[in-house]
Amino acid sequence: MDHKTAEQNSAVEKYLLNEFTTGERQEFEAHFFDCPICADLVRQGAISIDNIKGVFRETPARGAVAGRTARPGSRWFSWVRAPVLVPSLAALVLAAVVSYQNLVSIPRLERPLVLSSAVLSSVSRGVAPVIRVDRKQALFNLNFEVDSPQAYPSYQCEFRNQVNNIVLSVNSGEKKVASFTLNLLLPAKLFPPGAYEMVLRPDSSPNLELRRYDFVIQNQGEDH
Amino acid sequence: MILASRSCSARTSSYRSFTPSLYDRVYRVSVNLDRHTFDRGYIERLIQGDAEAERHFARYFGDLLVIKLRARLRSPQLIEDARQETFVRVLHVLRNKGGLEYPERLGAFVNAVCENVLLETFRSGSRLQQLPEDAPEPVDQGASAESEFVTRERKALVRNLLSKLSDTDREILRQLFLEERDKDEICREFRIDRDYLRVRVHRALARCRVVLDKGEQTAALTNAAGQ
Ligand SMILES: [Zn+2]
Repeated sequence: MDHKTAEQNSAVEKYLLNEFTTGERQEFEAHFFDCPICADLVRQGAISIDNIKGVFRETPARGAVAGRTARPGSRWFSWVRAPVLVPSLAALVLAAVVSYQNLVSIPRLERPLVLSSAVLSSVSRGVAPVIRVDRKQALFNLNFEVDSPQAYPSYQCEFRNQVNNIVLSVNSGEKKVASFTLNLLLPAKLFPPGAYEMVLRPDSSPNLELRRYDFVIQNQGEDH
Repeated sequence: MILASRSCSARTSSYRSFTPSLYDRVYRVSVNLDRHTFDRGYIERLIQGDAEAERHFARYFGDLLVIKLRARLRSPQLIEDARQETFVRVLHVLRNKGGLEYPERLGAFVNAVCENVLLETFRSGSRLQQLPEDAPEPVDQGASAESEFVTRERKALVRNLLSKLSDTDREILRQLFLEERDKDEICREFRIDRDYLRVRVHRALARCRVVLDKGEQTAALTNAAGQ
C-alpha cells in the first residue's frame, strides 16, 4: 500500500476502528511502520481513543444505553451454552473446550479418546472437508483455525445443519490472542451425517460474522 | 531475513533495558513525536548504543508496536513481552549484521520482526488449558486496563472537548469505543451509514488531536518557563 492509497481509503480510520481484514491490516501496518505521516496519525488517533475511553469509563452511561454495557451471560463462565433448539438435551455435557493434545481423558467417559489433529480452515470456496465420527463415542472433536482481524475476549460458535437450523451454540472461553486453533469436543448425537457450517462471531458483537467453516459429517466406516 | 532465536529473557539484560516502568517514565508518548530520518547515521548510532538514538527508537516504535500488538493480543503482559522481544531482536540483528541494507526501511524491518514474534506467540498459545467449571471469572485486563497513552492531563482536555460535542456524537463515541458495540448496530440506531460513521469519527479524532497537541505545547511552555 502506498501513502496515496492509504489516504484515499481512509486507512487510518479503518485501522483504528478495526474495520480491516487480517490481510488488509497487515498491509497497512507494513505501510505505516515506514510512513511517518500515517504513523503519526495512527499514534495520535490511538492516544485520542484511549483517552476518550478513559473519560467515558469515569462517566456513567446515559439511561438509554446503560443496560448495554453489561451483557449478562456474555462472560467467561457461560462458555458452555445449551443449544437453543434442543432443550431436551440440555442436561448433557454438550461441548467442551479441550486441551490440545492427542489423548485426553474426559470426565464421565469410560475410555480415553484419541483426538483428531485435522484443523478446519474458514470457507474458501473449496470442497468441505469430511469428518468421520465414531458413533461408539459420545463425543468427537473438531479443530478450527481462527484468525480474527481483532483479538476479542471470547467468541460464539454457532453450528447450523443443512436446513439452516441451529444445532449447537458454544462459547469459546476466554482468548488472549487473535489467531489460535479452537479445539472443541462436540456431542456426536447432535451431528447426524450431513453438511454443516460453523459461524464464528465475537461474543461482544453477536451480529458480526468473523468466519464461516463448512464441513460434512459421515459415520466412521461408511463411505459415500 | 535471519532472526535471532527466541530467548528474550536471557538476552534482554545485555541491551539497554526497555522495561515498562522505565518506558513509562522516560519515553511516555507525546501526541507529536519529532520525525527522524532513518538513515545510515541513525542505524550506526543505534549500533553504537547512542542513548538519544535508542530513546527515540524505543519511543517511536514502542508506540507503534503497542498499537499493532494490542489488536492481536489481549493480555498486557503478552503485549509487553512481544514489544520487548521485537526490540531485542531488531537491535541484535543490527549489531550482528552491522546495519541494514536499506536503512530507510527500518520501520518495515521492525514490523516484520514483530510479525515473527506474533506468529511465535500464537503458536505457543495454541496449547490451551481446560479450565475447571467452577473456576472464578478471570479479570479481563485487556479490555479494561488503562493504556499507557492515558494521562490525567489528557483526560481533562478530552473531557472538556467531549462536553462540547452534541449528545449524539458523544453517544456514538461511547458506544463505539467504550462498549465496542457492533458498528452496523450503531449505524442503524443513529440512522447513518458506515462511511458517515467513519467521517464523524475522523472529525472527532481530528479535534481531539488538536486539543491534545495544544495542551501539550502549553504544558511544555509552562515547564520551560518554570525552569
Ligand atoms: Zn502513509
